[in-house]
Amino acid sequence: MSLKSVPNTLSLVVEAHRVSRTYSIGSHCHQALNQVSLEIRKGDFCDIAGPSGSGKTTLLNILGCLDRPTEGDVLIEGVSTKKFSVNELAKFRSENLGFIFQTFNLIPTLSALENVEYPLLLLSRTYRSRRELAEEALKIVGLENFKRNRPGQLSGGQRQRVAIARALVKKPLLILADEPTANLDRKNSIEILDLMSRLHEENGVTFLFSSHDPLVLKRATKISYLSDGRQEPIPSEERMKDVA
Amino acid sequence: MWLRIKIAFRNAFRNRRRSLLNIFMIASAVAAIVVFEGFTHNMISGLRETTVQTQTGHLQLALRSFWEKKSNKPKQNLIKSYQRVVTELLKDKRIQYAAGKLEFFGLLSKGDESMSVRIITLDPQKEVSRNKHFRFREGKALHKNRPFQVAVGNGLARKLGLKANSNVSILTHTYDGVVNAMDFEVSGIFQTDIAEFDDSTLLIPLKTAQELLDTTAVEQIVVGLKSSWDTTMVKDSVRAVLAGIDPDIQVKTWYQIATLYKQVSMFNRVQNTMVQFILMALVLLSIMNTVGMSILERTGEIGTIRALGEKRAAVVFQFLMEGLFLGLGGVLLGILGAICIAKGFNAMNIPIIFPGASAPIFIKIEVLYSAILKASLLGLGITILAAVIPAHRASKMNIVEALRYNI
Ligand SMILES: Nc1ncnc2c1ncn2[C@@H]1O[C@H](COP(=O)(O)OP(=O)(O)O)[C@@H](O)[C@H]1O
Ligand SMILES: [Mg+2]
Repeated sequence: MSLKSVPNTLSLVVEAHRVSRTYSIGSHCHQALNQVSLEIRKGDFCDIAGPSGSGKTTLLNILGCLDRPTEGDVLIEGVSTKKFSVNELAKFRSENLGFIFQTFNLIPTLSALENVEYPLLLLSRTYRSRRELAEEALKIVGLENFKRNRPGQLSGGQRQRVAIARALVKKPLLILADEPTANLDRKNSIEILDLMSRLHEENGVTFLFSSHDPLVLKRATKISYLSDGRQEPIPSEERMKDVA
Repeated sequence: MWLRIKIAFRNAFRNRRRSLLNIFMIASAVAAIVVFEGFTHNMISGLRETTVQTQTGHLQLALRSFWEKKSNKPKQNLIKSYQRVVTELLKDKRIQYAAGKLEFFGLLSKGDESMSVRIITLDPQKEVSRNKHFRFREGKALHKNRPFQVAVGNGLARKLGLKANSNVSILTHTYDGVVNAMDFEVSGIFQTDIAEFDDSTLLIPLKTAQELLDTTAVEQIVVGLKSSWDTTMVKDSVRAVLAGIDPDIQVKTWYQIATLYKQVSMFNRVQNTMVQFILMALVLLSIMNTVGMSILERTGEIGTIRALGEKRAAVVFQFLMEGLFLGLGGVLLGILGAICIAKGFNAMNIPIIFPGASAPIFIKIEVLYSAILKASLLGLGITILAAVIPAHRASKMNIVEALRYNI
């Protein structure tokens, strides 16, 4: 299903190996994912696509080590995460993963700059290096003039840029983005995606999306299509969708 | 670290009205504790001074049989070697005075009216400081040169209509059971603020009492110290002195004898502890509720920082810090408030009558360092404790579930 990237086992970042995830709601079970496998390699711009409720977020959360599969395994650079403790997973996320959310999820009491600094705080960086890196990241997303603003004083598009800077600042192995454009208008969506494409192409940042937005699909170098928790070939009409 | 403190600080004051309400709550509790402790401390130490100075002295010496109250022959309770004991004791520089004491009952009459009274001796020559501590509403204290004068308690004087210079007679019986009577002049009317004492007690010079009771001995030896702090240490050395003279004489400290003081201070301690407990329980519940509510409101945010890789312990730490800020704010405000309340009350001179007191005293509140320390530690401890439980719950939240609260 790869369009552009060249397979390379050495550059494997994370891998879902036949993962299933069931939610028990009261007495009955709901299978949100069924035997799904997906490999994310360095340099991928991968999208998990599929209609609403098909299990995109569930798969993304499992690959992002926020959730554990009920069956199957998630491998980080070839190593199983089954035996990882909660704190070990947290450490892995803090060191290697960046997250971008549909709802931006900035911390409202912190300024844009402090929000971007936050992930470096978890890495025990010095104040000076935190500031330097955070300012640099804000510059990359074009918000160097808004560093003192709190999230409440920023527009949706600007907030998502801050979130991108926050994901970017620690130079992670992989950035996971769950429906990053769902709360943005078309113009802002295009700007945000252009920014991410640029980061992908110029800086080699690896992205994993969960999104059914045609704008994302168009840019993806690799697509995993889910329907009702199962992996399926991408229906041709999805690709043909007019995004112009 | 600094950024973490900054985050906690901003979060603590995120909902300004709620935080201020909490701070005010803690401050009220802290102020109440400091004020009440200061108030009762003043009352208790006043009672202690009065008790020690006018009644018990610091140490009391008497025969074992006297303390055990076994013998119904009071004569056997008399200390015959008392002059020698007093001379020996006065060699100790920490001792201010040592004097013999007798206590007995008699019939006090003025004209046709009579009343049974408690008669306590005082040695005006030796017990100068004790003599001084009786506050005289009218007339004068006893004097070594006026042996046939007695001083009468305020309440007692009122009942018999006595004034300074009134003529009275005392009827009692000697240790040998012979009835004896003497005429006296009232030197003055005193007031110790302990109603029970002022309503029934009459002071008489020791020498005269010995004449009246036809004895040269005493029942007790009262020892006054220059400093109350030395009480226990002097007690031990007095014991050593006594062992060489009469091993049957036993020493008690004022604290062992002062029943009223013991009851009042115990009552106050119990009362203060109970009030403090209730206040702290209220603070605990209110803070727990606030922190719990703010955690609920910030579920999504907790999910976010956990997704970014924040450890569970760090989440607990953050909420504890927030609790600590509320606690600190409350404690500081509370101490300030207590100082203001104390100043205000002390300036207003509000009179109040305690149970067991014979006259009103003015409310005086002393802001004690010990009370401040206690209230601060309690206040901070309780706020942190109140934050621990919800914070722990927050740290256990499922990340994916928590993230869904972001809307
Ligand atoms: N915590 C949960 N408890 C129960 N069911 C859930 C939970 N999370 C997701 N689901 C269900 O799992 C399915 C997949 O959800 P999700 O991964 O969020 O889909 P998508 O992101 O593709 O819209 C849905 O049917 C959803 O209702
Ligand atoms: Mg989703």
